[in-house]
Amino acid sequence: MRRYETTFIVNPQVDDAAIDRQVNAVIDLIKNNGGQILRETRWGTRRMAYPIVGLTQGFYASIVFDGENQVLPVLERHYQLEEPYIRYLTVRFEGSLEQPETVGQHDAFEASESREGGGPGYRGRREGGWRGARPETPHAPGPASGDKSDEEL
Amino acid sequence: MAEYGFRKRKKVCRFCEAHVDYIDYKDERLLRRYVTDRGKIVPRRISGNCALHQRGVTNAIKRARHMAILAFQSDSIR
Repeated sequence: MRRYETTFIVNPQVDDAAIDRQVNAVIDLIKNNGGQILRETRWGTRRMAYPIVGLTQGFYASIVFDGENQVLPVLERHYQLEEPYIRYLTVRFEGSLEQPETVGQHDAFEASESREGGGPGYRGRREGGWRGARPETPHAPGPASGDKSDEEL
Repeated sequence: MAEYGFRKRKKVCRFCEAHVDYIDYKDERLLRRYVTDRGKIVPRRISGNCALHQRGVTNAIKRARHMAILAFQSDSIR
């Protein structure tokens, strides 16, 4: 018995009842194979980072469950056979159930990093940065000077 | 060190400080800090993460890309 998390994207163009049916189908499948549902999260329809099969939006849902490993091929087959699933991912669940579901707004160390205002401020050499460019974060000193001083001393 | 006129700050892994033991691939806001504008993963020497947590971040980013939470490549910059 292991703890897994399965996340999938359903085509949002099918009607709400059909989406609901697809989510429930996965749940039933897990239950019928001796699994136990621990958490079910429906994120709702959100914009995807890139289009998949011509769609720009997808309905996301994720389910945390305890189950035997035999469930996994069954689940995978289900995802592949049914048309409305556009992506799926099943992984070992190593997080904690006590923590609230993350869905994009949680931040493990919000307070300490919010001053940075988003990205790390680093660019690679082909991204308009240059070798040895100092990132703006006080956390990370420039790579070139830092390394050299260590070697020389 | 003295010839550079400043004391080198010791880098500490943020995840170690915050005692984070699992980096969730669904945590888009967190992961965004560890990709560049183009969508590349920020290297460890910049992010300051320890090996364990950098691996966690990398893994989470790759999972997030598969699920279209993060882009493989950003087209906003051309």
